[in-house]
Amino acid sequence: MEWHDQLISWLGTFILITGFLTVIFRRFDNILTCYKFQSFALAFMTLIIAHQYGEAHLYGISLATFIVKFLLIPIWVMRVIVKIPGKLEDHASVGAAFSLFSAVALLLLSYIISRDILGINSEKVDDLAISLTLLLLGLYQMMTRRKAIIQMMGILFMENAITLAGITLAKGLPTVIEMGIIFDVLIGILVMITLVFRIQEAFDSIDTQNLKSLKG
Amino acid sequence: MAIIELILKVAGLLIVSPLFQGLIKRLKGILQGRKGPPVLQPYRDLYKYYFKERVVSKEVTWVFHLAPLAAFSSIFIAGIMVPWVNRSEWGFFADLILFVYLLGIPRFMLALAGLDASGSFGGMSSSREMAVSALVEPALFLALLTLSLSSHSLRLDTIISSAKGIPFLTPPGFLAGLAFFIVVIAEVGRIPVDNPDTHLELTMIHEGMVLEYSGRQLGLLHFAHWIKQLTLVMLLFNGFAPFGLTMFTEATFAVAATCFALKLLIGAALLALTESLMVKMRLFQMMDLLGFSFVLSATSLIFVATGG
Amino acid sequence: MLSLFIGSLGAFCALSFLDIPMLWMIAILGALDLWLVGGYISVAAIMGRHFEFLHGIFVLDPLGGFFLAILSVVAGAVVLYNFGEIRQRGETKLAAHQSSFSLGLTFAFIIAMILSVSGKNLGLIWVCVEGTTLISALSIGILNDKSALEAAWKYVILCTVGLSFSLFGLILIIHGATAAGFEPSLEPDALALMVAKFSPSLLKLAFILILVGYGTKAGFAPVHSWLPDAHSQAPAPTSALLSAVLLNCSLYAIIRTAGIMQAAGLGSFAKICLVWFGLMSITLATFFLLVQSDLKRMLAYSSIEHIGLAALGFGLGTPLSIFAALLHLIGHSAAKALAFLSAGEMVHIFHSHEMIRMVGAIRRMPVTGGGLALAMVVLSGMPPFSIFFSELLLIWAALTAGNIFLASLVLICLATAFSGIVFQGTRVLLGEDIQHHHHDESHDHNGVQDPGWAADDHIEEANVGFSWRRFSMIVLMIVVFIVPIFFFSPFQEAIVRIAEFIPGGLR
Repeated sequence: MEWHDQLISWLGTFILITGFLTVIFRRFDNILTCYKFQSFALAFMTLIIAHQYGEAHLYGISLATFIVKFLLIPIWVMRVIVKIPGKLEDHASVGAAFSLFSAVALLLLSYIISRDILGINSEKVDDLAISLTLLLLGLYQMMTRRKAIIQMMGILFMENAITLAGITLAKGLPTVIEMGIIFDVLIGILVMITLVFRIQEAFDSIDTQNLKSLKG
Repeated sequence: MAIIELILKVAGLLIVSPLFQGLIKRLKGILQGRKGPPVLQPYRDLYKYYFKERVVSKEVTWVFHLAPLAAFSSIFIAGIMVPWVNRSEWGFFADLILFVYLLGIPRFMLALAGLDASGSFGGMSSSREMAVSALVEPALFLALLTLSLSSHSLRLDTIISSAKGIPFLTPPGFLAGLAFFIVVIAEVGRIPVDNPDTHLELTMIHEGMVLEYSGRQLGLLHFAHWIKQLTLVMLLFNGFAPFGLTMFTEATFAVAATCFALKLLIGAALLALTESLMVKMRLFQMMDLLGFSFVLSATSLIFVATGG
Repeated sequence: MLSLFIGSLGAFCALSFLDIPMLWMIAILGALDLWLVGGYISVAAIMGRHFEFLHGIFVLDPLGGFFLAILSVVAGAVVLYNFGEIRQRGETKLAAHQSSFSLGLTFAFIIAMILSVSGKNLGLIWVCVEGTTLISALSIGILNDKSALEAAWKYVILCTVGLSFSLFGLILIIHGATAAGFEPSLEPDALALMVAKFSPSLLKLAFILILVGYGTKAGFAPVHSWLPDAHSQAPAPTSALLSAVLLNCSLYAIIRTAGIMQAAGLGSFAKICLVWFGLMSITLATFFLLVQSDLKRMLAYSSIEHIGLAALGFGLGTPLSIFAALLHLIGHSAAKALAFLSAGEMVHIFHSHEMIRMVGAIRRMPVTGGGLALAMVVLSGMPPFSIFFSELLLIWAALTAGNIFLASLVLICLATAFSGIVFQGTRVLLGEDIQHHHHDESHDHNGVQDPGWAADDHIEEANVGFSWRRFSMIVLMIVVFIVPIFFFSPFQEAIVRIAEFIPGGLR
């Protein structure tokens, strides 16, 4: 139906914009809020695609995404993060303007790649381009941020990008695998937060500039 | 027919722009819990400025005297280009790139004038203005380019007349419209970019550049600023959410005029609301906002260019 | 049967986490379970028997059985070593409760790796490999010292990023399926039927993404940067498992994916990619290996090199090279596990990772030193051990395929690596037992107190008597001696049968 595609394109735009916003924001709780909204839009989009194509397993994935990524992870992370002393704000290692220009450049690059791969007339070009952009933005986030906990958010954003690609391009991976991925995300966050706490204890800060002693 | 349109447009520009300014200030006052200045106050201000004595610094050169005239004339011509009630008003020279440059001339002249008087406030404001416009101009251009890509033309009248439906309700149009709105705020110097009511050193951008002016020149500059304000708001509406635009016939004119008044009201309300709800941003924070508007307009351009 | 195996290991894992008093029973039972049951299952799988787990979600086929065999043998020894470590080192780096935690983590790690080679579904393999990343990161980070945490963080971040790219590649494959009008699936059998109709550029991009992702986990250069840190800073049992088994699991995933590419007619593209990655790994690892001062780091770079050799073997694609690659994996796993376990012991005894501080190991600690000596001899490629044969076959295969440049480059690198390892090895292993000079030279070594000297008396005692660690090392040494017989006839047929499951192998 017409309104399915329209709504999906609006949601895709919204998800992309939240991705761009993470490049600007410096504080951790702002970035986490972006993640929450992005996950909500993602869950909603899964619901719509499930309705559009009648794929029953997507309803379950939508619910799981909503519960895990919109509720569980943000609430739990926020509760845990308050135990880390010091400001959870990243100094600008690259300027905001440069980051924003790079973000646009990445968008352009993703579109070029998507058109090459899928052919110019494929209707999935936008979806692939947006997912690829978000993936590269997550990577960019991890390269330019210094606080370890914000690098972890970069991984979460990359995972969101892949879920987006999964539901738009592939109508959702098989249920077992999707559940496995969500399970991996949960365990991943558990492991990473454990490591962050230990880094905090050992180095008295979570600035990854301290983590440069092993070379060669 | 075209001559009548032109005369009406010129008269409209001169008469309605102070009214629009008054409307914004009144609405802002109401939203902030005061009564606000009278809506007709800007006319009185213009009258006042006409008769005030001019005090001119000894250091100034011809640039200082040229700037208000250049600013007013270029903004005036830009104002004529943007359609108000009619889809193809007076269009033969309404080129998009010309429009952007016509907005650029007063910016340039004023920045020079700010430097010209050798005052520290002027120089500081000029540099801030240039920094802001370095991000604003691309955003403005790209947002308008987004509109022009769908109609394959760079003429404002063709762009507006060939718009199918309301561009604002499509994802690329929405992004471009949002970007353009941020640009409008930056160009007319309202909170969160610049505070039009203040003369504090920390917060001046536009006010600093015109600080040395007095008398008729100051009146001319203010008038030019109001015309720019009206023009940009009209472009925002007619480019992104054109409703009620018709061909110029008597029958439909009433509808078009009502819509025009409606757009004035909504535009004023939007600006006043934004000013009341937000605080002025720090300069470097503002760069993030303007960069974000650039990103939005670039994204919408890429969406439209790739047929998304 | 497979369910029994995995279930029992899961039970051991849980019991270790619960820190029950009879930990030695868990360790022994676990090791026996891995050796006997695991060995039986893998041999039966290679012979062709079909195993299933969880209603057909996990299916073990001969290729999986091959990797499972290697895993079982090494993991059994590692479990014993881990337990021995717990016994002996209660007072140093690991607190007592953390020690049973480390055994539990080791079991969990082993289970995750078993699951990852027991599946044929590409997506399922991905989930399990990601699981192994996370669990092993925890075990690296368990030590709480600064370099270990740095290594663990780098490991988690880099490998998760890499695996995300892999997942993206998998999604592209599914999209290719839907775009070509098929019912999408990630099962290799179903995919092999469809994949010829997919768009080639899509498949190529997908393969590159998947290769980069799993290659990050397998330690292909240039995405290997986490490997030296992680393998050197991890505790010894984890290092052994990482180097000897986990790298194999990533190769397993790559082989399965390359099989899909072969079915699509893009097999040569896949092979060229593998050859390039293998070549880059070999050359880069050789150079870095020469300048290492840290023992475990040097062994880590040796891992990169050997996995690069295996990738090269799979990439060349001729029956001879695939046979060589499979043989190489067996030999490398056994020797590398032995190497890391003995290196761990040596690090503990000399209180330092630096090879400068280690002298006279063979005289001082016969079993440990002997184990390290044997491992280094094998790893550097000396006959009559299996790595010599597999390297020889590989170069022979390259020459017969006409790739003279490749063969000569590999030869140069192997010779350089040989000299590097032997040089460092002789310095570390041979020489006087320093202990006798201890009393004369006293403490001030340029004003720095050498902690190694001070703990000598303590070490005297630790060297005497039975220790699980040494037992495990002895077991591995026996294995290493046995491995070369795989080169010879009866086992050749078994390996050839496995190689049939590597698409493109025997054509």
